[in-house]
Amino acid sequence: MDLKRIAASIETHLASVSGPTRVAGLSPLAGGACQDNFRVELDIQGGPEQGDHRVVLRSDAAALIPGTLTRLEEFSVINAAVAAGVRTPQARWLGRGLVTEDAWALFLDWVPGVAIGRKILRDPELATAREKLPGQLAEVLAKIHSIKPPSAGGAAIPGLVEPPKGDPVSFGLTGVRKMLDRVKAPHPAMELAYRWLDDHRPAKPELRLVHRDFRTGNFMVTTQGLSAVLDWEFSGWGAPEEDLAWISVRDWRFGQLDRPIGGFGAREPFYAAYEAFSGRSVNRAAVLWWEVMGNVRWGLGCIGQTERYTSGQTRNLEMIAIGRRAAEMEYEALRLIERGGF
Amino acid sequence: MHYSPDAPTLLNAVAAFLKSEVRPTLKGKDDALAFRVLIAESLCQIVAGELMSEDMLDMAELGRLKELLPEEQSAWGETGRSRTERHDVTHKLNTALAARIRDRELDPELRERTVEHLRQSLREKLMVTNPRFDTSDTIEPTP
Repeated sequence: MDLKRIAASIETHLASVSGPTRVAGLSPLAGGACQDNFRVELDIQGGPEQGDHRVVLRSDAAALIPGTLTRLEEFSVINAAVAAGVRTPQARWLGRGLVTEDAWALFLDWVPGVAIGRKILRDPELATAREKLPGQLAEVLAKIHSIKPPSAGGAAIPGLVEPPKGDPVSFGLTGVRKMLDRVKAPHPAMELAYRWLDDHRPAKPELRLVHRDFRTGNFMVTTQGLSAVLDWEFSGWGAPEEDLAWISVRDWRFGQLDRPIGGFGAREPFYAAYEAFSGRSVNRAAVLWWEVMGNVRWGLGCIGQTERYTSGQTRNLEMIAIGRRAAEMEYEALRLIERGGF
Repeated sequence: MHYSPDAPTLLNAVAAFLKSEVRPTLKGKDDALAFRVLIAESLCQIVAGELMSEDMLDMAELGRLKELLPEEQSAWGETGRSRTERHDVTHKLNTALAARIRDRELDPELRERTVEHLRQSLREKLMVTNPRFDTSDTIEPTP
């Protein structure tokens, strides 16, 4: 990767959208699978944004994961979230071709804190933060879910499409069925979970903006608790219960299984706080449904990642190793089904 | 039959080598690579565990599948002759079980037996692939 060339592209771009700029630092960050991320120190030497800025540059990677947003689309989602009062880094200076030719890129304000799950759950310095987190997350989630799609009188967000017939439940099930049909090996436990999901469909929910990866690991946390929600690449119009459930999916409890909200909180106080902030009641049965769904999808995701290796798309050892973990999500889905309620 | 050491012993030796001689040299220098070495270690241990338990677990799973799917007797074949044959039969029976769950209404008694079998098979896999995975039903407070 040619950091000098990237720095020069950034300087040219910023000169046109902000002011004369010098890149004082640029280093790659360990990133997601669908973006290239860099830490950038900017010295803007004129205009209203004059001064030193520490930011993250996020660029579309060569291969996007299907179903994820491009940086162009993510930029509009983040702007809508910021306007709704969601604590998330401001997105700035949208551009194209800064890192990879034609790829969209954006800059995010640097936020303090840690996102690593095990640290958030175990660091003694974050004990107070852990107490505050459930309430803060309930509040931020209520704000995200205050954003309505066009069919409910809200503004359109480029790149975001409402599910067919406004029904994310059927749409989600159809997607899972397709994924399951593509898996070559038989998975009777997945079939049983799918059958349960099909037989227990919740009523059509109110469509709202959902983050779709709202879980420990995607929040920045300081000693004061939540500092920012990150990673909007999976967001879209959907069922609020999907976000309320995903934070409880077993893998995101990072071993603290008896604390089903992100590994640090109990269910009921979190749901009650969300109800207070959003003014809408939480359908517990629908949350259970989406939690089962989350485990099924994550299990299928593990199998899919292994297939990306065996088909030659990737040589990343992590990808082929994760396939064995599907049994964990299957077991958890069956546990939730047999438990039959919160 | 190969000379000793057997395959699980060799795999565990590779895992021990990665852990004690490779990973420490990377820590703090290339943490991402150190993490992938950890994954390689864990894969060696998993495969060693699978090789040691496979025959027993395959027989147990196959026995339960036969009880659940008596109508598939024609697919049972000459099981127990070789590992490959056993895998083929297990694959066929699991395919039949998956199809039954997908396409048919299970009466409560059959559903309960099916769930019991699936949970047992998953517990057996997890014992090998992730022994720390808690399979008890009391991991979180009941409602």
